[in-house]
Amino acid sequence: MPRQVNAVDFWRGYALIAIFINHIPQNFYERFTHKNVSLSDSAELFVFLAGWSLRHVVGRPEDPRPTADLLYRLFGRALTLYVAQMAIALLAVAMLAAAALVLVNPLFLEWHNAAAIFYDPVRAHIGLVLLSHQLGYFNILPLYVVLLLIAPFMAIVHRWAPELLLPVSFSIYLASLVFGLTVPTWPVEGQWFFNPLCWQLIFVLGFSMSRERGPGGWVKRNILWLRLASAPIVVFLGVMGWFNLWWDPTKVPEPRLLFLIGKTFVTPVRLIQFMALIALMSAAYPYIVRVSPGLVSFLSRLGRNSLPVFCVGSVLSLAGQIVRFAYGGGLIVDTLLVGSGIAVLSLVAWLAEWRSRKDQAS
Amino acid sequence: MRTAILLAMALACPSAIESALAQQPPPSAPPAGSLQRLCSEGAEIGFGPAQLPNAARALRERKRLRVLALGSTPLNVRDQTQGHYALVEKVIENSVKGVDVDIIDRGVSGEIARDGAERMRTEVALLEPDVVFWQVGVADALALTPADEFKETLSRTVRWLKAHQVDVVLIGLRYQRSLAANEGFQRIRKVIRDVVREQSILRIGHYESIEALDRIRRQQGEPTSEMDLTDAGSNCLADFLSRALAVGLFAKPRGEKEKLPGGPPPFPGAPAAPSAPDKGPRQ
Repeated sequence: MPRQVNAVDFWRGYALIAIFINHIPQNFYERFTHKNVSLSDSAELFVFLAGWSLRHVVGRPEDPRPTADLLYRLFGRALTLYVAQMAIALLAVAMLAAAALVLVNPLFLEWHNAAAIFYDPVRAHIGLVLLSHQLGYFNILPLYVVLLLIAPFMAIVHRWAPELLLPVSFSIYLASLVFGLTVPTWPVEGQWFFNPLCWQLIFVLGFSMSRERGPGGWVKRNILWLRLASAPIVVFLGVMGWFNLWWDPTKVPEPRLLFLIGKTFVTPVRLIQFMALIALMSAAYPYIVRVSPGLVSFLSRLGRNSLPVFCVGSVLSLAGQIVRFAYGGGLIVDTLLVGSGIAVLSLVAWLAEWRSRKDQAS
Repeated sequence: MRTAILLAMALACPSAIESALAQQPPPSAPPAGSLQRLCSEGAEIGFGPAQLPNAARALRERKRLRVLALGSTPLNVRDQTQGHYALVEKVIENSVKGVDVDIIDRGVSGEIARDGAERMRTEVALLEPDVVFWQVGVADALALTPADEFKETLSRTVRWLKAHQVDVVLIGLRYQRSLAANEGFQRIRKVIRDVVREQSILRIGHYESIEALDRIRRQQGEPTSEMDLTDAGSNCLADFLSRALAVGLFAKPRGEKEKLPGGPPPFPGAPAAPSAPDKGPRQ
């Protein structure tokens, strides 16, 4: 039986839908996702909730999963994600190639960092397999793979010295910001769009907040005050963003990454805004359940089946971009694209649970 | 080679450029419509009275030029062991002894101008470049960004860069025969030209060069495939960039428009083109 609806699955389902919509740039519905009034976007939400979900694997403090079993499951999950990334990247490459041929437009061969695949295939294919070459909008799963590869170490540190986990994670984050540490891409010179050295902190925060003890327990005990403090932060930064009132990035002191606003390094201002947003979102869930149980049920199903939904959503959003170019945008085309896309994602989630039920029955 | 001569002469004695170029006999030019010739002369470059003042100052005072490259990362098809930017670095460094050119590629392919502009501010703050190469427009053309939104983003970002003493070279759209009549594509192209003219900045016009190549080859009865045109655009881009840097840094504007071989001027209302390439020997 699938899990009962819950806030984590619900918000994960929301993040999946928002990522799908945002990954069709300039479509009509892009303006309705929360990134328009928020510094952080669905990527942070997705990674945070991935960290939160780790608690199911790690087990309760009074009944922890055996370490060997834990490592096996986490590395196995990382491998599953890696294979999924390879599959969707290959599909994306084939879609771009097909679009270039059918629409007689070689620009598609260079879109979303695909140029190296077609024009420098020897090195680019090695890069694809090593995750050092990533297609545009197909760069969250590589981050997730890396996070799951470090998850066993996280879990072990948490098991033996739980008070160390967050400080260690924060130190890595801080070092990355102060020294500009990042992970390079190859063969195309550059850096990972989502710097794992920084994004790991969101993952660890998600895991830590999910626990009943330590920082998670403290947050749960003080959630009311935290929400009260969060509201002005979210509103203030939302207004700053809406009216583009940001400070001049060239005028901030060194080390500049501590004061800049950036997604790659998920800089402190963005991180603080995200945590404040999370505090408010957690308050909203009970009201949403009351007002719209159908929506909660729908999004929770997507959230429960996040990997297949995410993979299909990534491919569909690329298809949506190609279709938009071929047939033009506008309200009708965008409504058809987004509507049919969400319907397919729903079908994928339903099929995944139907298959799971069949397997259990047999 | 002309770029190398220009750079070397300019650094040694900027005033000698004009006379040196005038004295050099023009070698036999490659046939019209050849890729070599189009690469050497095809870039339609608009510029104002001060082309790359911040980059020129950096070279003069520090003998060091730091370039931030944004937008789609162009790939050098001809030489797959290095990218365009590595080639541009090498051309300039080989030309002028003691000059260090560092091109840092922070391009995110597929990123529309709106998102790129936002990221650019952070990158400029972190890397403190003297000049930005911004390959812009392709992702917006494919994402059907409204032209007015695109223009607003582009103009605002160029103004911001100028206000922060950073020069900018726009690398515009690439010519695609199948998109020659595409309204959205051409609207984005026009916006880039308009912003270049209004802001008096440099633009790499490889669209016009490859369009000329296509036209000439067809006139000669040897039509080029769409894929070959793409290759040609890639192969020429390093030459265009090196040349734009040389012209923008050292040559004096004459207010003339460079003409492409075998065809009309790039487009009506194009900004003034550099004078130096017309005077110099062809490669």
